[in-house]
Amino acid sequence: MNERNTNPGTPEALTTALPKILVIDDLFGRVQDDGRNPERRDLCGQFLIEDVTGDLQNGQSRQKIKRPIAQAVFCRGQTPAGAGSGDMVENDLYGTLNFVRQLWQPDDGSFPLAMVLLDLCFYTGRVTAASESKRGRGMPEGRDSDDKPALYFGLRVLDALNQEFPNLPVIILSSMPREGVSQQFSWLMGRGFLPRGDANSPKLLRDYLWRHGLIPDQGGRIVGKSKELLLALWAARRAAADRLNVLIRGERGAGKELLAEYINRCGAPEEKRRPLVVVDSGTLTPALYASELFGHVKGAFTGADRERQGRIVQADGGDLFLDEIGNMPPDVQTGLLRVLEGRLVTPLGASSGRAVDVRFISATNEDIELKAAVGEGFRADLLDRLREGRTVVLPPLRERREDIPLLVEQFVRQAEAAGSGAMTRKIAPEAMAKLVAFDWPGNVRELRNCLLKAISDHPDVEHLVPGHLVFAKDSARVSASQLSARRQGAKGVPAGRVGEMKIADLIALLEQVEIDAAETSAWAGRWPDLQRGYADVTLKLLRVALLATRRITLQNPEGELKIHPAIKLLTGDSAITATKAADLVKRIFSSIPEAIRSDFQRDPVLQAAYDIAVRLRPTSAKPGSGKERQTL
Amino acid sequence: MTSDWQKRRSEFNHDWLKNRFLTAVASFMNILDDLVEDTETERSFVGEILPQWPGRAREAARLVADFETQMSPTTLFARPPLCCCGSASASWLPNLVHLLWCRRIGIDVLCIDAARSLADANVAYKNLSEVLAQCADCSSAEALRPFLSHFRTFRSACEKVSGMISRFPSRIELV
Repeated sequence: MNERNTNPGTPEALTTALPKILVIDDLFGRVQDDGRNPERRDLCGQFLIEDVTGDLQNGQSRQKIKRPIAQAVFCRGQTPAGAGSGDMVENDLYGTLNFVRQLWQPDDGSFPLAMVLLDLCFYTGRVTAASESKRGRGMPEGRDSDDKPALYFGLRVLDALNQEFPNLPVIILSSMPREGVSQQFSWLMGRGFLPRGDANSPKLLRDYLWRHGLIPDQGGRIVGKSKELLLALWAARRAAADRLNVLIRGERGAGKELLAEYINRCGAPEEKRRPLVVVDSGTLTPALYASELFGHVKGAFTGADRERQGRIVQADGGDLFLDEIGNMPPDVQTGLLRVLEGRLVTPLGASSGRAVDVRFISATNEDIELKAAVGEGFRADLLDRLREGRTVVLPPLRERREDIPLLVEQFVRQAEAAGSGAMTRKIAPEAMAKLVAFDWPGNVRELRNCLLKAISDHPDVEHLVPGHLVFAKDSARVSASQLSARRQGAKGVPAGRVGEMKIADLIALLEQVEIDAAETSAWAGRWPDLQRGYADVTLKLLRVALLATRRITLQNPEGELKIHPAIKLLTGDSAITATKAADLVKRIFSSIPEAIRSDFQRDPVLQAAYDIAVRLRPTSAKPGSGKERQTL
Repeated sequence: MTSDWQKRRSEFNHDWLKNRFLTAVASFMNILDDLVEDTETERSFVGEILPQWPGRAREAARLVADFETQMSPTTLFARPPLCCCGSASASWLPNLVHLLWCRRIGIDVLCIDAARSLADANVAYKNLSEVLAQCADCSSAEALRPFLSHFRTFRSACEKVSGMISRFPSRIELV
């Protein structure tokens, strides 16, 4: 876990940072009246964790963990933390949650909590000589309810943590038997059970951290400490745990290929690592796609003068990364589906296939689910096969701004290492502020390019200042997501589907359009184009609304189109009547310019909507009147 | 209500053996494995922590021996409502309940296994003590490292004791 990075461009702090865990436990979290806690020291020695709580006055400094697994912060979960003889000890849920809040949102730039280790039984009551003799200094007598499994304070804490921090993994660390709480523990979303006194404790903790912990990429390839990124890495590790296919979703430049490499790396130890073969669908022409993927035999097509092994066969025994799968031609999709179903690949022109064992890691920045759902451009059955229930969403850079300083540091050092000069640049705080504030529609790749350009254009400066940074013009505008976030008053837009982002972009674009009344000459002759574009967008929106409001039943899996709910959705008018909705549909169609009407008449969804509207309102508005266009 | 036996078990197995003793043993083993530097534990373990075992082992032996009498459902006949049953029934019913309970939970096997694991741990402790008696400096990890296998055996035996004690039912159950 504490693997040292060999990448010279990665800041040392990133790779030496240990995961931080919180231990909530009455015995190990307390402070004795002499300022010590020998049991905590033993626990740290047993699990190979560094105590960084800083609440003990002495003793702890004499212990040094040589290769620690994690850093631990301890919390008693009770008041007072430093109880002495005669004191009353009570459980403190509120204080415990406050403590977690501080660690979950660190304001000192440190990594957020990777995991919580939580005790079950917390003893309460008065601290007496007898109780201290039995349980240790500062430990109370205990009440009957304390050790009743149904009433364990640890389960109350688990419940509260699950409610407030659903993404924070909690592992039970207890000497009490698991059987007594297995049901509550499962319902309250506990992630694991770590018994005390087990000879394999460090290994068990290491495994739990790996499986559930929010920890950075120890290999240093994916840089970042934001919770959004750590959650994506966690999802990737979970996906890597078996050989099921994985779908990665993320915007362009967000690092989908790096995440695919991470999944490949996490799938097996280095010595048993399987190959990762990359296919960038975005660079392939439709004609070459099938050959690239499946291979071909000599003479399979004109120009196939020799046999060629396909990428799938090259990845046999390992992983195949398919980037930009939204670009995959339909015939290749059909062929790939056959491979996925039969685990057999047949090169073009061949009569027989070859069995392969390949895990497919695919990626897209499109709303592939919508494409598949509406049957446009991507097969739903292929999508099901490619994700097998596992989708890892890579957050865009604007949703993990706290990672930008780390990335800047890395890219600047990489550029310096690649160059001949030995200069080490500093990034002026003003420049860093600009870099952090920018929206980076091209994500990490765009940030990297911006910095490389700044260094290349100004090779002899020790300080990077705002004047050295050139932001891409087309992305310098306020992005749709930022506009939306401002409207919501939120820090960022919640992670959503790519389709939602496109719609937000569209809305933002429309909102930003300003027409200068003084430039009427510029519009001369463009009104038909504008009319056409307007009708085009309106019909596309209507189509999406119709599909989104389809009523899907077992009897009709394709879904039944209904114009009333679609118009409600489109207009935002929940009170609109069915007849008015039908009128509106007819008006939309009547506004279509002749030049493009035939295009939309071929669309079965729109045609069906028009037929329904005519059936409902056979004698209403005449098509083509200017008034109707205005109404719409 | 938690029975006295249950409280005693909790104090032995939960509060002392797992939470404190085994944790200290595990930490000390990591010192011997050169994974941890801890002069305080290194100095005090053999002299202060380890010698706690014999007294606690006797406590555990009493715990095992008392289980049948203190956790048997016959104890329920001493309090309401079963204490109200007629003398005719009281002359045979408790004995029958006890016999059925013993058979159901396999009391013989349970107690024998627990006693055996305790005996194994005591033997491991005795062997460890004997080799430690020949050690020149029992407060030095360096000097203690040759006896690592003896420590391991003892630790493993203690873990078994803990596991065996955990297997006993946690409440008085009717047949």
